[in-house]
Order: sequence, then C-alpha cells, then structure tokens
Amino acid sequence: MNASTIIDVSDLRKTYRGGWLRRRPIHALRGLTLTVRPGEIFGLLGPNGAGKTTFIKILLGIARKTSGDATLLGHRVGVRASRREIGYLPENLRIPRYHTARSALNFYGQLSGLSAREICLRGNQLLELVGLIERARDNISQYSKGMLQRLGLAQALLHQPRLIILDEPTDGLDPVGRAQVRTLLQRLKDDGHTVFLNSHILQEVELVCDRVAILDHGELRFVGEVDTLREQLSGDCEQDFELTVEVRGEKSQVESAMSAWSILSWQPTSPGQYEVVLRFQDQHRVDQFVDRLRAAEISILNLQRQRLTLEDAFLKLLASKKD
Amino acid sequence: MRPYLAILKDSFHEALASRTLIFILGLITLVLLAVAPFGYREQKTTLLSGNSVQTWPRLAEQIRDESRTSAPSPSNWIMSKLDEQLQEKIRDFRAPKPEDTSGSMKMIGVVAGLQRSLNKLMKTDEFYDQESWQAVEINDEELQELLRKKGLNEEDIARRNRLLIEAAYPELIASSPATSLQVRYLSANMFTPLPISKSRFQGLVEERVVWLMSWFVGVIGVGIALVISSSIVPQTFEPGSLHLLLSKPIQRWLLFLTKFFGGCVYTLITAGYFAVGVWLILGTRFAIWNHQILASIPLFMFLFAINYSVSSLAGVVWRSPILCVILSVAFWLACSLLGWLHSGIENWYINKIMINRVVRAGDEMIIANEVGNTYRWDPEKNEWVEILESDSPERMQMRLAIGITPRVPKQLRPFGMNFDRNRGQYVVVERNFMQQPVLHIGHPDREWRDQDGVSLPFGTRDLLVEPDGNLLAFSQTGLFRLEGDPISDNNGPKLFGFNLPLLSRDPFRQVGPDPAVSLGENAVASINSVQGRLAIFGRATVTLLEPVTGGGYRRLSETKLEIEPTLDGLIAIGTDRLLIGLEDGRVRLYELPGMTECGEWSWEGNTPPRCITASANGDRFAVVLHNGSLWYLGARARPERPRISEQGKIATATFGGGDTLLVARGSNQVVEYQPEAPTAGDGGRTEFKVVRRFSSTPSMSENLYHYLLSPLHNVLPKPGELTETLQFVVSGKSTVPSDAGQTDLQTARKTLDPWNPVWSGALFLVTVLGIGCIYMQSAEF
Repeated sequence: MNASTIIDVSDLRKTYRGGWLRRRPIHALRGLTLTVRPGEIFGLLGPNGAGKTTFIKILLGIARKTSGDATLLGHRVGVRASRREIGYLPENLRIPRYHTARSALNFYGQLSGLSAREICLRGNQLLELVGLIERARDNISQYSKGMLQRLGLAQALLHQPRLIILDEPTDGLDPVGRAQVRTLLQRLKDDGHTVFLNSHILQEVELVCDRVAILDHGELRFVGEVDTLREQLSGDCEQDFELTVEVRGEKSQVESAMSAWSILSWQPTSPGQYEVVLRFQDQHRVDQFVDRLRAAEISILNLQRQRLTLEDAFLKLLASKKD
Repeated sequence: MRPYLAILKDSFHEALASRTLIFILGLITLVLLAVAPFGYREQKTTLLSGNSVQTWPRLAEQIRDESRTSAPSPSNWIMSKLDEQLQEKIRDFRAPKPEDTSGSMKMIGVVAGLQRSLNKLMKTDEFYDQESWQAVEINDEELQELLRKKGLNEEDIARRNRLLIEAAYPELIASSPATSLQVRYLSANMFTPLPISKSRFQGLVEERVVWLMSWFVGVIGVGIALVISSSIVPQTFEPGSLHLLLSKPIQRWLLFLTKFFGGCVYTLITAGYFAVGVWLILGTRFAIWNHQILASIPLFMFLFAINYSVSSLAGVVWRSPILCVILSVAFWLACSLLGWLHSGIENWYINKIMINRVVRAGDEMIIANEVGNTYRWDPEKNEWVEILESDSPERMQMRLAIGITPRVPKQLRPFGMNFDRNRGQYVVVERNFMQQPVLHIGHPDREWRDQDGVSLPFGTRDLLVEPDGNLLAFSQTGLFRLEGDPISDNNGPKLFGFNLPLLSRDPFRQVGPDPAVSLGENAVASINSVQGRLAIFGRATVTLLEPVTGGGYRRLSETKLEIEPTLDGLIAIGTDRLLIGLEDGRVRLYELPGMTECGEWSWEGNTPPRCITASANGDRFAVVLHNGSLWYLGARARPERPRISEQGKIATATFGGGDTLLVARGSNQVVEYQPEAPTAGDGGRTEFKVVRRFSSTPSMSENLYHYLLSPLHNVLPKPGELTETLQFVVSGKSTVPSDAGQTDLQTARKTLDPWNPVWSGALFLVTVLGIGCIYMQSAEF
C-alpha cells in the first residue's frame, strides 16, 4: 500500500448472483484500479448501473468484494478500524423523525464512539458550519430536504474523519442548496479533508473535483484530472470542431463571404449583426475564414471556439467506447 | 459499548416520542383507575347465599312439613314470621313433575322468596325464640357464647341467627366460617359475602390478578406491542438508514441485537407501568404487598421477546413490517394452538382417564378413573376389562355431562370405590343430577354389569369398609352402616326423570357419633382396618372415633390443630399413628391415641398430596403428591422417595392386602411393589421390588399424546404458558386447582411446570436471534 493514498484499489471485482433458480452472475465491478490521494476531492462518475454504489458499499464494508485488493487508510476495507476514519453521507439519508439536529448528532456521534463532551464541542461548531445552529432544537420533521442534507454532512464530519464519502450530496436540492453544499465542500478541501464524491450532476463535479474516475458497466474508463480528460477528448476531436462568430455587415456580403464554409446555424442578433456557428476541420481553415471576412470588410465582433465541457467529454467517452 | 448503549437509549427516545405509547399508557391508567376502588371488608358470616343451603326446595319442604304440627320448632317459628303470601306458597309447595314447567317456575319463585325473607328475618332479634329452639342440639361454642351474651349488636344478632338456622337444619345448611369477606367497590358492596378466610381471599385475588394480567398484558398488550414494534427492525434496514449505521464502527450482529432489545422497550414501559400499578393497588386496597407481582415485568418482556424475535428475523430477511406482523402473529397463534391442544387433551382426556382408585380384594384387582369408568384385571386375557357398564339413560347422561366438562367437577365425581367383601361385589357411589349419592354395584354373578343400588344418606362424603367388611357411609350428619339389601327397587318418586333424594335412610343405620361431628365443606375420613378406629379431619380439627359394643361409634378425642381452619387435607389412620396431608403441602404425623405430633414435612416445593393411604396393619403410609411423586413412610417414620420408575407420573397408590404397595400410573398401569426393610449398605433406604405388573396396551390416542404431542409441546416454545411461571412465582405453589371452583385435594390438580416454558422459550429465542445474527453478519445490504 502506498502511504500517500487514502483509497487504494487494485483489480477490484464484484460479482452478484441473481435469480432464484439459475443464479446467473452479474458483474458489478470488473477489475477496478484507482487511488485517492490525501486532501483531494475525488469524483466518481458513471451512468446508472455503472457500479458506483457497489464500489462505495465495498469501501464501507456493506458489501464484500469478490476479488482484488482494496485498502482504506492502510486498513482492509470494511474493518472497523477503517470505518472509524470514514464520514459517510448516504444517498436518500433517513434520520428518525423524533430527533432534533442536536439529538441526532448526539446519537450518530456515540455510534462513532465519541464522548458526550466531544459531541457537544464538535456539534456546535458543525451546526454553525452547516448553518443549522438556529434550528438545532427543532424537530427534524420540520426540516427541508436541504437542511436534512446539511445535517447529514454535519454527522459525517462529527468525528473528524480522514475521508468523507458523499453519495449524491446535492440530489434533490434546489440551486441555493447546491451552492451551499459546494461551498462546504470547498471549505472541507481547504481544511485538508479528503472527499470522495459520488454524483451524477457533472457540472458540480467539474466545479469542485480535483480528479474524477468514470465507471461504465463496472469498468474504469478514465481516472485523472478533469482538464486532462477534456484535453484528451479535445485532442481526439482535433479534426472537427465548432466555431461561433458574431459579425456585422450587409447580409448578402456576409452570406457570400461564408459560402465556402460549413454553416451549422445562422441567427441575426440585431439589425446588421449575425451570430453564425460553423464547423472546421483544422486551424488553417479558420485562418483562411478570418482572412476572407476581413477582405470582404466584414467586422468580426466576437470569435469563439466551442470548449468541451465535462458532460460533453463524459458523453463522448461513453459513446466512443460503445463505437 | 457506547455505540450499543446509544442504540438502546435511542429506542427509549423513540418509544417516549411515540403517540401510540402515550395512548396505551392512557388506556392502562384508565383500567387501573377503574380497578383501584375495589377493596374488601371482613365481616361476620350472616346471610344465606344460594350455595349456603344444599337444596332450597328441601328446606322449603322441611319448613312446610314441620310447621304442620303445633309443637314449637324452628320451622314453626320461622313460618310464623314469614308474610302470609309466602306462608301460603310454602304450604302449597310441591316438588314439580318433570314435564311441569310452570311448577318448576313456581318452585324457583318460592325458593327466591324464602331466601329473601329468611335473610331479612335473620337480621332481626325476633328470629330467635328460645322455646322454638329448645329441641335443637347446640354444640357450637360460638353460638353458645352468643346466646349467653347480652346486648348483642346488629352484626352479632345476624351471626347468632345464622348459627341458629345451621343448628336447626344441619343436613341442609353447612356450617359456616365465623367471618366472611365482603367485596366492595368504593362504598358499595359487591356480590354476596364470601365465606372464606382473609388469606384464602388474598390468594384468590392473586390468582385473579395473575389471570387478568395474563390477558391484559400477556395477550392484548403483547399483541399491540408486536404490531407497534414490528416496523422498528424493517425501518432500520431501509437503505438510507442502514447504510449510515453500517458505516459506523459497530458490529453488525450487535446492531441487530441492540435493535431487537430496543424494540422490547415498548413492552418494558407498558408492562412495567401496569405491573407497578397493580402491585400498588393490591398493596393499598387488599393489603397484599407481594413483590413477586413485579416479576411479571421481566416475564412479559420475555413473552414479548419470544414473539418479537420472529418479527425481527423476518424484518432482517424481508424488511417488510406487514410480513413481520403476519409472521409473528402466525407464530403466536401456532404456539397457542399447540398449547391449547395439549392442555385440552390433557384436561378432557388424559386426566379423566387417569386411575384415581385401585381396589384390591383377594384375587380381584379393580381400578377406576376420574370419570367413573371401572376396569377389572382379567388374568386370563392379561388386560383390563371394563366393568360396571350400564344402559341406564340417567347414568349415560351423567357420563356425558362429565365428558363434556373440561374437568370432572367434585359434585359429579364418583367416590367411595370399594370392595364389599361380605357380599363379594364392587361398589361405587355416584351422584345423580339432584346431587343425591346413589350406590352402584357390580357383582361377578351379573358379569360385573352395573346395578343400581340404594340412595345413600344425604351429604354422604365417602364410603368406608369396617374391619369386618361392612360398608360405612360417612356423611355430614353422622356415620351410617349398610345393614340391609343395597339393591334399589328404583320405584321411588322422581323429579325431571331422576330419583328424588329421600329423607329415608334405609337400609343404612346410623351408628353415631352422638353428637354428630361438625364437618367442613371438604371433611375427609379414614378407617383403620385392624382396630376399626375412625379419624375425621375437617375445619382444622381431627376427631377420633372408636367402635363400641353394639356397633356404634363414640368420640375418642377431638384435637384442634394449629393451622388455618379453611385448609383442606387428607387423612390416613394407622394402628398407632395418623398421617395428615394439608393443602399447603405440609404432611404431619401424629402418634395415637394422644395425637402427639411426631413429624412434619413438606416435599417438592410444598406440593400438596393427592392421596394418602395406610397399610392394612397400619404401620406404614404412602403419600402421592399432585406432581406424581410417591413418598413412603415406613415403620421408622423416616419419609423417603422410593426409587421406582413411575416416580413423577404416579396417579394414585394403595396398599394391597399383604405388605405390598400398588402404584398406579396413567390410565392402565398398576405395579405391585414389595417394600423390603432398609439395609445399612443402602443408606437405610427401603428397596421396592416389583412383584407384578398389571398393564395393558394404551390406546392410540394415549400413544399419540405421550409420544408425539407431549414431546413436541416440550421442545417448542410455549409463550402462552409463561402465565404458569407467573402463577408459580406469585403464589409459590407448584400445583394449582384445575379450575377456580375446585377446592378439594382429590381432584387432579394442574401441575405447574414453571420453568419449562422459560427454557424452551429461551432456547427458541437464542436460536432465532442466533440465525438473525448470522444472517446479519453474512448478508450484503
């Protein structure tokens, strides 16, 4: 095991047996290998059924691996020593409705082995951090979904774990709630926590994660920084890209100047001004295009090459593998 | 342990936050408040209840008949004090014919009027007229004292009058204890006063409370708790909750166990609240500070835990609250069904066919069971053959009545099975529907078929055999020797098709004692077959009678024992020793004739005796306890528990003609043992050698019961029978009457097996929880 890793997984496989009579195997994880480094926010991506939840269950010891190696902070996954170091926020968190925020923290803190004094000290700080201190004595049946998620985060952080595993932490939250969670994650990162984030909201992952892993049908498709993924996929697509250009000029002149190129869309933005999306095969053709417009005395107000988002990259990656 | 304690604490948190719990606690409070005003007051026994008089129509007839003469008598005096309308009715009163429905209704009216008027009259001083009572024999010390005393208060007057009417009609009105208990609700009297002692009343209250708690908490409470708690485990296993719990550094199997025990918190709170409430009410209102009542809390918890373990296991495996409720209720019903089936067969069949009397006379060996079925050992066929079979519709109806009752009531049970050596026939006394004891005879010349005999004197309790072979009826009005022809002509008057009880005692002749012995409800007698001495035990008094020239009996001594007067007992008289077994389990040995106590023992958790017998020469005794154990007192008066294979299953025992001891087991087995004098090498123990076995093949139903149902019942959990454990813990008694009305010792009692339901339940609980723990450890969620 590498001492500088929080999660170290090598050739991890998990096979479920389904069906009553013919117990056909279902391969949830097929030789997964990855590491999560201390202090990073690591995002796990993948479509439904990719094996993300299975992977988290194995990390937590809720499910058992079929083969391969998986260690967490140097301990075998699932053992109590490793669970002591984990703070976990499950998807669809359910906290019994007879609790208040404070009594819930007290309960989950004791489950993590904390003393009443420790819970009291840390609890106040965390309730302050997640913005629930004012409502700490209210029954949680009166809480909104966002407040519940924040309380879930607080319980996950209560025992100062070295690794925080968050399973869809912004699921069901409104934009304000999501922004609050993102801010919290950023603060955790700033404080040096390692966060393992499982989410299917890719914009969010793109915004907060240092590195991501993409799973598909139990196989690891990519692991690395988001920019690397983008670049890698952008490089793959070098022969064919889109360009948006905003120009001013006579309509007939503009049409005539652009007639040699492949126009994807054409839209007037104001009288005498047009936004046009075109497809190019290479940079040389872009240069020729600009020269042609200038030669026709058409003013170029804005010129932007379309950037590949994580979502685009994710979809491209999955699509490319299918091809 | 901190995480697991947190889960338990959380269960309390959850329970206390539940509205259902508050509703149930409110309901319990209402029940406790409704029960709290009950109380009782001790008062002198005065009024006549329906049960105080053996047969009210006979009392009306006696008052009518005796008031026809002008001679002063209690009947004349009472008649004169009744209102004219009632007097008229009593004068016209005739026992109705079977088909006369209006006559029966009229009889009920007369009886009710007579009871009401007598009770009203007995509250007044004018009930007693010295001249009218002059001819009445007054032996009762309490009455003598009250008659001497001047300035009696109202209660004393009523008590005096009660004793006077008892003395005037001893055959019809049983003598009553000095005090009775009046149950009260707030300041109102409830029911008629109970003629029982305070301690017996308290015991009765405890029994009722155990019954009430068994139903209220053990059935209703546990049922509700099962429904309420059924969702606790499945809710824990919902992904958003379970995954969070499993991510914590806790053991899965301990999580399951703590969740299980947490689910028991509902029952702990409700059962605890109810038990403490009941305990306080019993203490403050009935002066019963029995802390054992509080033992019901862990017992009901245990009962709930057994059922809840099924629910929890279903919750872990299927995670559906509905399925949890269905499975736990189904399990509960299945266990209850098995329990009911077992106890039903035991009460309706096994106990009824159990031998309760063995009669040995010469070569004849006869056994009889509780129902009255009688069998004779046929040495040629080597099996028991039924005798005393009858085609009489009256007897068949009586058998049917015995058959359909869950247990044979004392009033219907045959008694006095004996062998009439002088006439070479077997006799037994059976009561008809009018409670009249009638002799039934089986003679070998008539192929042992039943032959109706004469009616016995009213109030006959037992039939004894004198040393010369004569039959002696022991009744509440004295001893009567059968001197004439015992065969009935069966032509007497009938009521509803049954023989009317006659005042005529022919062919029985009264043979003393004079004055008659005042008997309690369950007085018992025993006769020594060598000297003919007779001992009677009743109302804590042992009366010794001895035969005198001329064939009568006279009092030899009357000894008041220092025991509670209401304690029932059994007695056996030997040549120079007498053994008494008491209802509270004490067995006392006295030397005769001085009645010097020479030993007292209590065996096997104060188990009361079911049968006590003395050997023919009167130097040895055998005691069979209600739990089926046999104890033997040899000549050296050192009791021992014989090492015989039937121990624990013995139905009855009797000494044979020689030195042998006949031990009966079940419905069809009698073993004849020869006790051999103890040897020094065997620690001074008497050796019992089998002389002969009289045994036939048990019926298929008996085999099914003994070899299938009973073992199954023993092994499987019996949550419903934990009531017996509570009954044992509260009362400290290892056997209890089979039903509340049973007060005599000879009827088969229910032997409490208090720890079997605990062990089988614990075994089941451990198994189910163990499976739950293994599943929890190995499952993937």
